[in-house]
Amino acid sequence: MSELKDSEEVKKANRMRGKKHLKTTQEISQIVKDYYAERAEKVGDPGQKIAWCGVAVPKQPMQAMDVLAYYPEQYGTVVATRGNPFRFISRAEEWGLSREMCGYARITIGYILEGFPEDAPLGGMKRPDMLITTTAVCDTRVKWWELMGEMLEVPVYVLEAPEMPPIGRKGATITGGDMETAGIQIGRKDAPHTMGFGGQNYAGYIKFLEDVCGKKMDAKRLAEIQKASGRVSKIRREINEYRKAIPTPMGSADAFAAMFPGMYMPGTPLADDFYSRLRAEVKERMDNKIGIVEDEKFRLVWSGIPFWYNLGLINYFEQKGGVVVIDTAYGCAAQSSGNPNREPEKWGMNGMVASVVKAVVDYNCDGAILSYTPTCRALYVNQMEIQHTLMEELGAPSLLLESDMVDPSSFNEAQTMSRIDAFIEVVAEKAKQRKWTPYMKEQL
Amino acid sequence: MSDKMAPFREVVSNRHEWIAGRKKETGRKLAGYFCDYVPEEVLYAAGYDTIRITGGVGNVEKADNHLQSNVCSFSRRCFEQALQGVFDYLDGLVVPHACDVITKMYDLWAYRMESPDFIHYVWVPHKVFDKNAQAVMVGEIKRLKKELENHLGTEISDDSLREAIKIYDETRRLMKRVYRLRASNPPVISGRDAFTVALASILAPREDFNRWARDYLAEMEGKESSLERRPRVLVTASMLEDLDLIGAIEDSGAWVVADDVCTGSRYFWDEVGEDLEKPIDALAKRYLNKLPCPRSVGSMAPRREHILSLGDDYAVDGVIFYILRCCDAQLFQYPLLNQRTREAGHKVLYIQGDQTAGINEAITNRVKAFTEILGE
Ligand code: SF4
Ligand code: SF4
Repeated sequence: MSELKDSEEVKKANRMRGKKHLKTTQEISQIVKDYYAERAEKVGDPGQKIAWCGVAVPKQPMQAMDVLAYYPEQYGTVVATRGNPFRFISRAEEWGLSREMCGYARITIGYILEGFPEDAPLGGMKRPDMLITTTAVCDTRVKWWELMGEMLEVPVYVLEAPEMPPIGRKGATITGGDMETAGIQIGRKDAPHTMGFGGQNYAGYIKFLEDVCGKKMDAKRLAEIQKASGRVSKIRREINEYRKAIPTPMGSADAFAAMFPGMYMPGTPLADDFYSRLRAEVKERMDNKIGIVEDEKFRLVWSGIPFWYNLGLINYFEQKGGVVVIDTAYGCAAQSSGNPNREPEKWGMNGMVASVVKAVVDYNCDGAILSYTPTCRALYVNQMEIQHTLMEELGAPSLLLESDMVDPSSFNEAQTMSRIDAFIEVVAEKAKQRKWTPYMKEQL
Repeated sequence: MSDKMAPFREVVSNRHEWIAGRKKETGRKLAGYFCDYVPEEVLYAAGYDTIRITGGVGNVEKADNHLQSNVCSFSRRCFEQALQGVFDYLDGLVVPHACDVITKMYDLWAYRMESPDFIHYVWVPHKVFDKNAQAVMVGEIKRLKKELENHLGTEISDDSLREAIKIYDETRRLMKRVYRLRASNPPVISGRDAFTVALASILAPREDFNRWARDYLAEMEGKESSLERRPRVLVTASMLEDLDLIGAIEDSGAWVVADDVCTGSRYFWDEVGEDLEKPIDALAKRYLNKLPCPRSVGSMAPRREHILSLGDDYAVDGVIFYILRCCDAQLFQYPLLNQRTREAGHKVLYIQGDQTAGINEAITNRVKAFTEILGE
């Protein structure tokens, strides 16, 4: 059990705030604030329904039903970056959740046990009428949502998405489109029943929303929202395409912030406007060869969840002349994919491994940072394989960095920094002697 | 103590050597499987004996190169043994979609290991009680059957499936009768013996097991208990694959009279049944509706009921939760299940399990203290 830490210590742990380089991404902090404020304002409206939702649940049906959504995982990052995570984590642990469990879950359960306090960061998440999650990505959330369902006595919907391993024993094959879903394969062609079950689950999700909201889905409105979010995805893919350029005009320090509208409010005019302006800014930087660092010496992929209370770690590489160009956990599709002079023979044991290997290839990177959050099994059970496969197939070095995503007490600064320094030497040397030529769409 | 126990004890204490030796004698193929959700009957019908993959207690060295310490020690130990060649006796391996970790055991084994030459993944829905689950489960069992047929070049008939189901159902009925021997107070047999038989049922070939269990029951059923009265304990666990915990509890002066463990009662409690017109449908139904593993959606209520009704039927005084470190499915259910169990009047002890360390002195001491409280 972690003792209650005082705010001084929290501040100390939080000192490495991320520094964003672009103009447009500076707006994100306000966008997030407004998102919470808008929800808080509408909560009392007659008939207004509130959902707590797992990331990766399709948002569009909720938008079409005017359901206001909160995302406990996202709120975990809010607490970690703007508040005192120990307040909730220790409460959950005292209640019986153990330290080795998902940090996001411990924050949320602690927040519920504290009775939805008004003084929680950004006013907290308002009490839900329903809980929705998906099995895509991790099983943990299924158990976590069921637990919340029992605690809050509200209906839970689990949207089950049959994740399948690759056929055969040669590991994954991966396309540019798979990068949208971080390499996760839902269903498989030799098991059409799994896809059927996925479809039934999606239909069940719509039906669940209709039941809780007491009204029918407006199919036309849903189609419009889907079209609009398709447009947003397209813009985001274009932005990612530009990030392949050397020097990269935008790295992950900005991208981790910039993902908010795309992930939580796709298909809204705000998202469209935000990414359109971001695209223009990134393009301009690319055209003028304005990089994140002046003389870009090495390029990295970030795999896994960032340490939210310590995003400044990403900027640290910049001080040493390198950039974290792209991150894979939340999907990182670009307009095009592949590099004909740098194709590995195999992509690794499954799609999630493959998506990181592919990101190294697609984004012209020299190595990878593999964050390792011991409390999350779903994402990190792959990390060692990612490390091996990168080395075996691309000769690309990678560094495993351990810390919890929301619990600053787990971060061992001295040790981490010296490992990072050692890694930088290796990867910078490697980058000097690239045996492959960088590649992006313009060159086609 | 009955010498009819000897074969069970032999298999459990010496499982790998025993099974490899037995395989040579029978000449039958052997398929390993993980967890409670693989329809073993299909493998049996295809000509395989089936054996549950267990990890044993010990260090993890080779597997550390593939799995980090945030993964449960059960799966790390299983993969460690795979890398050491312990499972080289297998001709097939089937891995179900149980939890995130088991799923990756498939990925790793298929990609990094060369043997066995048949390896298959069965996708089992989390939503086992969903109205659409039956169709997808039937689809997956058919896919397993087809893959086996392609691999072996033979057809698996409905009749051979029916035959297999009958044999496996017999094991289930026999096991339930063995467990009933502990309903009386004092019990007729110890928890150690009952669990030894249960473990043998996941390791030994069916014919052997059923024959031994029939013999054993013929001797034990109807017998008066020669044991003393002691506090009565139920164990609920992720995975128990040896006798160390049960032994520690009984050495401390209690009897283990019941369990909610996937290598114990959850494995055999539910039968496929008599309606075998469509054997694959019957199998799908059984595997979806069996006592659920905590990983399944909606498993909390039936688990709670199972624990509480065993609590009544077997006059349980205390409940021990033994949860492997990092087993999310169990850990998320623990706080409320613990509460409900206490509300039902049982005393509760929580033990964090770790197959790299086994049952150490610290655990033994806590168990002793708990038994003392139960005895008061
Ligand atoms: S993927 Fe990991 S961090 Fe995210 S909810 Fe699941 S366990 Fe938690
Ligand atoms: S013990 Fe838990 S985490 Fe480990 S394999 Fe079983 S269900 Fe999965």
